[in-house]
Amino acid sequence: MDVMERNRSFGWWCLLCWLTLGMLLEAMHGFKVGWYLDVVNEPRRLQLTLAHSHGTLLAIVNLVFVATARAPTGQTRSLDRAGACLRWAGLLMPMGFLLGGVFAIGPDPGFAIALVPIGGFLLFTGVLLTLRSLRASAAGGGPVPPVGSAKPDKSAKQA
Amino acid sequence: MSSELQALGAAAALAAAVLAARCLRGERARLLAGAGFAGLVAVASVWAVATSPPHVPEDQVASRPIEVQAGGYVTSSKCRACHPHEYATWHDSYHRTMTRRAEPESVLGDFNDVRLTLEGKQYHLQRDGDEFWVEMDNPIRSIVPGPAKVRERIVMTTGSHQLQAYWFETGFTRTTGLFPFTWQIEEQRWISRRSAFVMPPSDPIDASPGTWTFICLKCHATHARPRVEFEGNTLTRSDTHVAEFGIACESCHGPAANHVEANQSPTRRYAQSLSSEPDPTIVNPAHLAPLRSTEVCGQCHGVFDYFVDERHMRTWFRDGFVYRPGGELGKYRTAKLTGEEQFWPDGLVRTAGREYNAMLGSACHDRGHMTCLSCHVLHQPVGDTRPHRVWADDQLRDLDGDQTCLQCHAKYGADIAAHSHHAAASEGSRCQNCHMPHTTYGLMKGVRTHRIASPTVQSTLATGRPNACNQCHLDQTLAWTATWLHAWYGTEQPTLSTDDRQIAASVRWILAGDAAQRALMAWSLGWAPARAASGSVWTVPYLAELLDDPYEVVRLIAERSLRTLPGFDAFRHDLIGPAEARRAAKAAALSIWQQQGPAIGRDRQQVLFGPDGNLRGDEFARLLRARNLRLVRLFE
Repeated sequence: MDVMERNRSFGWWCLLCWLTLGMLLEAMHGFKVGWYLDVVNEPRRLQLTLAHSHGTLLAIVNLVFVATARAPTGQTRSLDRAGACLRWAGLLMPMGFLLGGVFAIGPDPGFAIALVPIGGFLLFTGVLLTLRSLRASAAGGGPVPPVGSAKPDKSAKQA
Repeated sequence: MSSELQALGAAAALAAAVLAARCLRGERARLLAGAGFAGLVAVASVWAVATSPPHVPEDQVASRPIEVQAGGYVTSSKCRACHPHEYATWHDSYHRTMTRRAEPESVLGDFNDVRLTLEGKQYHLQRDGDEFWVEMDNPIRSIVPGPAKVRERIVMTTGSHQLQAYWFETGFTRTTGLFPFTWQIEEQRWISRRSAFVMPPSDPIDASPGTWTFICLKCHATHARPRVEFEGNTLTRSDTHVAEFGIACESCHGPAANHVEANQSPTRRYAQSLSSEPDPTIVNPAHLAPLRSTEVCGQCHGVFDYFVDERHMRTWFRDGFVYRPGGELGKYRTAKLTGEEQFWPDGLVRTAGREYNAMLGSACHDRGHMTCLSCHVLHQPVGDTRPHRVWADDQLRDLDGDQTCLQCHAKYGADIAAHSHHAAASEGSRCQNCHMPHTTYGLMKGVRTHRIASPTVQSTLATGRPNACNQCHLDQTLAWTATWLHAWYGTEQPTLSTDDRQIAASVRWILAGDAAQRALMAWSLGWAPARAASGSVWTVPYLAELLDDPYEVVRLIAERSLRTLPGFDAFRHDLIGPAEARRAAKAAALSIWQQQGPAIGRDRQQVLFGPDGNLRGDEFARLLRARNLRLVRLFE
């Protein structure tokens, strides 16, 4: 499976998961679940909200990556790395918030919050590598791989 | 709500402009629609700015004490981020609202064009937008020349539970004045200060300036600094600062700047969370030694002799109190255990809000390590299902009343009736009813004493303080109490007078007691357990008599107790009216009672009813003539 296919699949699955979490959070609002809503659980509520928002947003980032990322022909290594970084970021950041919220320690999130800065670094790296690939592609480095394929197609060659 | 409406209005205007732009043909028409929309937004913005009250930064407020952080105090806003539950429960408490700025959210009293009269002086209360005003005689005319009548703005409030008092600006530096009326929250009415506190009718009450800066700020604000200057005995300037209005986190936990700074580090926070040791950068009264813990509450809930020398006075005027929670209170002041006004003759404090002084003589505290936190909990615990208001009422732990005592005295738990000699489920078997009777007065009611002791007739004879037995069995004599205490507990029988043997103790306190005893009895006559134990029909003539008491507050309490009786639920009288009005109220109460055809029953001689069911007027009058007329002032 090439990078675009992986990120597309990852993006949609993540979107499904984190939207499900969003519905779960709304249900907890609806049923006034104290584990989520009580003032004493305010840090947990914040972490779970952050998990939902980051997870959803990073799923969309992965899908946007699939739709817009470009690399010169034969130079897809950078793009492969960017895709991997974005997938890991999309996993680690929301999971850090989620686990940090579920296992909150007093006013602070649980130790899993340590995943968040790692995910943040990977996100930054992924975006940087994507930009590099786009720049190389724009500089005439070669055709643009279509969405869902690492190989340039005919129309790209013609372009 | 208004911002929400404004936002909706702006969105509607924008939508209308977009619709107009799409429908209109021609560049000029579209430009006109755009310009119209921009004009509308501009007009609305100018209107909103012009009509909103100007915001004055706190440091530029000149007419009242202001909030300024100093000395390591950072205010509750800093605590909220890490301690949301503690912040929320404190926010629900009456400690927070002890002092507030006068704003629509804080002012509970009726200021809608209300006119009040007190001792011939007129007070006109008005509301002007978000501001509250009082028009009255110039209260500082004798100090600073000025007009006879003034209209002053209310700038601060005190209290939000039973009563709310109001402070007006005086124009004299940051000195505020105390408005002579108080808003009684439960009954939604204005009462004079004399109706709220035990004060002799001969004491003048007026709109007096200055007391907040010297007295109230000690405990009604966090880290208060009077910052006053004198020339001789004359106050020349007050620039009073507080860290925070009301009794906030740092009143009990001490200044938190170091704690906040240290805990910026997440590694420290995680290490602290995993440690079993308390955080050394902040004081937690629950982790202090018992005496130090009690002192934290005691710093305000106590009466003290202050170390008053020139150095201490200078420090106090400039920086406020030096004591900090966790420190040794006795270094700076000593708890008072005698005094004419606030103490029973044996040194037990008799005004509410001074529980520390009473605790100090209790064996449970002195030998048993009991602290305030043994029974009270300052942050409503997670899982406590009581409504916030119920918990906030006296911030007690969510324990069955006896459980607080049985934490230590477990041996009585198995068979409480064997110890109490009352039915196990009855009020007579509740630990606090016998060992913490309502012999302290405060906030227009009887309040439980915090001197935990067993009832004796001897202490009543020596001090005049009601004992638990006679405060519940209002229709019984001291001899009756002495007999049962001797039979059940072997308490020594005291020597008793004829009246002690023949007349119910409550009747003697009501008719012949001093004002503070009468106030307590007026409340006891309405106390449900006492009514259940003693009956209530016979009490009406006594409550009616108290409606004509010289002390306003006694009249008020008697009226409230009377209203708990059948047929009196709508009974009201003019508390500050002339003597004729009071006598008329008394006659009206007796008339209602007689119309009910009261069945007094036999065996009521102790409460002065003869075998024919009629009140024995001669004995009633004899006791009234013997009334203790000493002037009583109970400063709460």
